[in-house]
Amino acid sequence: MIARVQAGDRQAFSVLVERYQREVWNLALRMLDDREDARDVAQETFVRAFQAIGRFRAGEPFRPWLMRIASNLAVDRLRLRGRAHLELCETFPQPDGDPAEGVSRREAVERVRAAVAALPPEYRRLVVLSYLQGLTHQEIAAATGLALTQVKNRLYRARLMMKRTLEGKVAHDV
Amino acid sequence: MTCREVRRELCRRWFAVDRGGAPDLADLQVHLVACAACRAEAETWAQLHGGLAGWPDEPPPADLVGGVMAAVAGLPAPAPRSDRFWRGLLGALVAWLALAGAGGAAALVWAPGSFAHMVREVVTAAALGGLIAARAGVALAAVARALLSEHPLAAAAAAVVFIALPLLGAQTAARRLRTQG
Repeated sequence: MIARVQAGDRQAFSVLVERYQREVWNLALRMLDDREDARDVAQETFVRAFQAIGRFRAGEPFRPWLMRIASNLAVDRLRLRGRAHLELCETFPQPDGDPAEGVSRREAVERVRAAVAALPPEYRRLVVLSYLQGLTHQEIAAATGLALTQVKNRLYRARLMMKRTLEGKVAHDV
Repeated sequence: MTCREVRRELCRRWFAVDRGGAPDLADLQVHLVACAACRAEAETWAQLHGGLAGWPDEPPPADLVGGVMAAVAGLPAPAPRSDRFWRGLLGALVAWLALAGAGGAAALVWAPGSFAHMVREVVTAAALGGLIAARAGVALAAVARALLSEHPLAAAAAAVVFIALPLLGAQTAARRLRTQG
């Protein structure tokens, strides 16, 4: 498929976009917490991928390469904002099951979203790639250009930061 | 295990703790049963883990694919890496040959003379080669960059640099040869 895109097959590229749009969109949305920004970043990700796909080496995993483009753009956008973006998105899909349990779960997710949003951009990128997008540490290292030990250390620090934020919020709520 | 060790382990292995059942975590589980403070800490981790795990996956905007394809419609088709490499190499080779030809022709036009004089010119020109080579290097780099980038303006600028700089270099060399002769 990628070879076909490299050969100039735009139809093949649209198939790639279809295949990865959900993942790129969710990565952008989770990092930016803003639908308009996420839409811009998702679209720009695929445009950049199209422009750079000639330099993509056959045999390398495509997903981390694409995630690298997307997360770099999202980090750039966060830095442009110049501050941690603590606003939450509008609505969440209602989970199935007991409504009371759904509300409780939604609150828990909202607290965690705020904790993720309070992270510095580089840490937020790692948390989203690891715990939300499900990339392995090796894939994250490939996607960010960090060493494997750096990825693990930063994720460790990110978890501590999120926990502290969460504890502050829990204490505040109580 | 001490509270400090337990808390470090909770942060390091929170997913493993959440899943439970790992034999090497038995001590930790025992500590959690006995220590309310660490149990509260473990609950915070579980809340964080649960919040991340429960973060919903949302469908992308319906027009995302259309927007992307419209944006790339005006872009040139990507060339495979190997094509770019060989095209760049070929371009550099052609540029080098053209450079040598232009320099030689310019030297003949601006500094004609006898065979012995020409030999002396060549030797002297070799001494001046550094100047020309430096200029040619800039031109070649610009050409290679333009070939790889596929930007028409960059290619045009590189062409100007490629043609003008070697000729200027040859002219300078010839002028110096004349004044020396």
